[in-house]
Amino acid sequence: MVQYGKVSSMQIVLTLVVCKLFAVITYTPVYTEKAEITAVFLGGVVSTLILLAAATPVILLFRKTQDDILTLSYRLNPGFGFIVFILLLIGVLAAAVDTMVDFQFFMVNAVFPDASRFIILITLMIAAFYASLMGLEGIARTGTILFLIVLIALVTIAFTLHNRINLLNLKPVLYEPVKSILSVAWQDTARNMELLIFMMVVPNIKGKAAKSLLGYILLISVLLCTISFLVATVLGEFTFRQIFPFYMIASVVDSKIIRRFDAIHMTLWVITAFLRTSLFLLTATSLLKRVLPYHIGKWSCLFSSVVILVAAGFLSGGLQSSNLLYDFIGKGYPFVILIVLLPIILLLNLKRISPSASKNREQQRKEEKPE
Amino acid sequence: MRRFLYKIQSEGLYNTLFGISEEKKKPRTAPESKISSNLLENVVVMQERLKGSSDFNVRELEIGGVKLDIFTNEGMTNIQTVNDSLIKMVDHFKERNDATAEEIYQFIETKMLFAAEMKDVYTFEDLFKMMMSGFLIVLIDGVDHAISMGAQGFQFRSIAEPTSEANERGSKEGFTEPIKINMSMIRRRIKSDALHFEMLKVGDTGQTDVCLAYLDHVVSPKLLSSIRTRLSKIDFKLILNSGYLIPFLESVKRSLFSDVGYTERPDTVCAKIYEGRVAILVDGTPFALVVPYLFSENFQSIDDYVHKSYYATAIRCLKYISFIITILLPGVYVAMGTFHPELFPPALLFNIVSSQETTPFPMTIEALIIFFIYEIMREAGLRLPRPVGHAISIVGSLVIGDAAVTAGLIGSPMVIVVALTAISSFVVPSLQEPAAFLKFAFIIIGGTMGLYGIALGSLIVMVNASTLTAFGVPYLSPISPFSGYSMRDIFFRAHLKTLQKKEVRIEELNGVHIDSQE
Repeated sequence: MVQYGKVSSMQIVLTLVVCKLFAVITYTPVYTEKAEITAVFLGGVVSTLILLAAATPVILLFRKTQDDILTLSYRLNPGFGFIVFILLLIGVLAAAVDTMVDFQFFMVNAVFPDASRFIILITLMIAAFYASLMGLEGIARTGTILFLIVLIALVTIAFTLHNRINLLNLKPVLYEPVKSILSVAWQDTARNMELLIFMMVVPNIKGKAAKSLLGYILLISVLLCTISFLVATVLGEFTFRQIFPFYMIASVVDSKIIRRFDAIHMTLWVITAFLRTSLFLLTATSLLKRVLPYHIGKWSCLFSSVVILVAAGFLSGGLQSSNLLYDFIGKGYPFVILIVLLPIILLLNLKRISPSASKNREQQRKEEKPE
Repeated sequence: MRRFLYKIQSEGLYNTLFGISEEKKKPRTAPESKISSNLLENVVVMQERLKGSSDFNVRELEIGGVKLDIFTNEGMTNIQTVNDSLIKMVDHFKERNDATAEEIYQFIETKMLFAAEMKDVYTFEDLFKMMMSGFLIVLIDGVDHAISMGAQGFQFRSIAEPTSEANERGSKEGFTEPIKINMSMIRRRIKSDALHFEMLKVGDTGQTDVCLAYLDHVVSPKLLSSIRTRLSKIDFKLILNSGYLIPFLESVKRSLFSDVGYTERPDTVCAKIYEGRVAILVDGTPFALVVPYLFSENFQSIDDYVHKSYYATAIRCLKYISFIITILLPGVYVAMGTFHPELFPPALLFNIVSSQETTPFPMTIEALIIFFIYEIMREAGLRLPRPVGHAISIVGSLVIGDAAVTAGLIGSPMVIVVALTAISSFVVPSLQEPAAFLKFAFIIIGGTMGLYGIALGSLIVMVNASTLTAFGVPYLSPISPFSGYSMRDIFFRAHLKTLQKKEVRIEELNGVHIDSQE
């Protein structure tokens, strides 16, 4: 995103972690493939390894260059670059639409049963549109603060639930079929569309991009495992009867001051959905501005917002349509094409697209002061 | 037709239709004219310009055979100083009738020590500026310039305790209106030759003195250049208050928060200057501006550094909590009462429901009404004369505290919420403007969209604050972008021995990018 200033690697990592948390907490086992409860937890652990393996080309690519994925694609071939632009645009728009659809599904089912889904969608989009207008620096700085809030919330949840954790809900590892563990692991891995954002913000990162990505993967893995563990041990088999099990564990808590934590948990959903939608909208805007002339490109944010809003409004009309995009992303098609295959193609042609890549990287490291 | 369209483009539609041209809108200022060596000509020009204004006095003298006139502004010049100067001159030249203009001039320049500040003035524009600043003006027949002597003697408010920033153990001195007094108060505290005062004139008609105060070896030259650029763009004719400069110094026009701070305390200004900021003093205002100003500074006070660190930390945290209470408590209460009553403990829920049963309005309207009445009372309390103040406090407590609840207009839990919010708002007075706006906004949002709306609104506010940069310094710095070493004086106050190990410089915070071209 060359239009925006530099942000520190820590800010980007923490912001992307908060975005990824949305995918974690909106996990709906009711509509996914049947799995045992232990597989939910073990799948989180295994997804870390799969993600590390799948993200290796990305890490290797951005060890050598500080250019974003679109710039590299255009350098390889303008036609190829245009195709990548289309795919990236579809990918980020789809991720944004999926976020909004999942969010409204959660709000309408769990919090405000009588609310109109359009109100939820429109209000979220207005907030995300405003944040996108403020730019990457504003979102990244906000993301750092929100990470602390989310972390405090998660620790509070974990602390209040500590006496309800029942390890007997977990079966021995060898009792679980490998297929179900891998299925859950693949779903967790495929929902890492945040890596698309990462591949676009590489030029804006102060410090080492590859290390930032590793940090992101490790941090999100820890959080995923922790949340999966809580869900599995607190709810047990009850997990598969809940639409949003992570939200449900908040209803189980009871303290003297506040009767239920679920409305407070709702703020976690709002924070993560807001940040995720804003970032994907910002990425879509940045992509369009790179390609379109200035007098048209300045309307990119509005155009993208309208497209996302209309698509989300259309898809959120029914359960089947809501699950269309969820299943499509969950099966991993965008992940494999954009996050695995594309970096491999660019990595194989790295010398052609960035002949002095290593030289530039050293020079840039000397110029920039890491935070 | 083309000429008409061109005129609309250059002068605007209104001016074109009503015939007011750009030329006519320019203020009538006389061209700069030099002082001549002929006293009579100079006096004629002076009388033409002053048009017989009754606050100017002229004393015509003939000393040693040389004619000279002394111009003073009544009420602004020290009469004793004027008399002393006249006596001395008369005494020196009393036995001479053949003194020359040059001798008189040299005598005044070299032998008269009553005024520390003496300046030669060559144009009438400068002469009037000096005279209207309280300087004594001497015009000598045969000398082609005037002498201005610092003989100010106007009355001003004495140094008193700051009214807006009370403290327990710090200095009780606050700024006053004359800029020179304020400059001296800063100089007394920073006895360093690196402390520099740069004087500017702002305002075509008012020619108000504005002073930039900074430490030479600490301040960023780009920051100074940026401030000068912004001040040069001020087109006001008259600057009556330092607040007039704030919109021109702010980096973002439409933001809830201001990146220009103000203070009435010289010790606070000195502390800010030492961190590389620039203080802006305005003649006629006891409030100095400080740029750049960050969000975390709203929660710092000079008292934090005289208490023990654990106590200062507790008070600092209390201030943050108070600010959150001020902006969120009414909205959250309304949201919970309207959409999420299950969050209340059963006993409290029972009380709230029973109080709401007897009130005619929904919680949102109730909150808006009562806070509106509170704002009226607060504003009235600021403006009314002191003898009436007690009556207002009695009326307020009776009307809101008792009569409204007894009449069933509002519930008693709402009164508690209002009281707590009001008290909390005074803990951080510098954030009163955004707090007042956000309070009402969150009440409306909470009443219409519940905690979901509160969360979304809070996120928008956070993004607004995160994006704001104060002269290239992120407004939320050092919280975000995070600067580890600077955090020792943000949420908690480290021991003074720790604070003294490394000084905080505004330019060294993370994410800073000061641009001199702003």
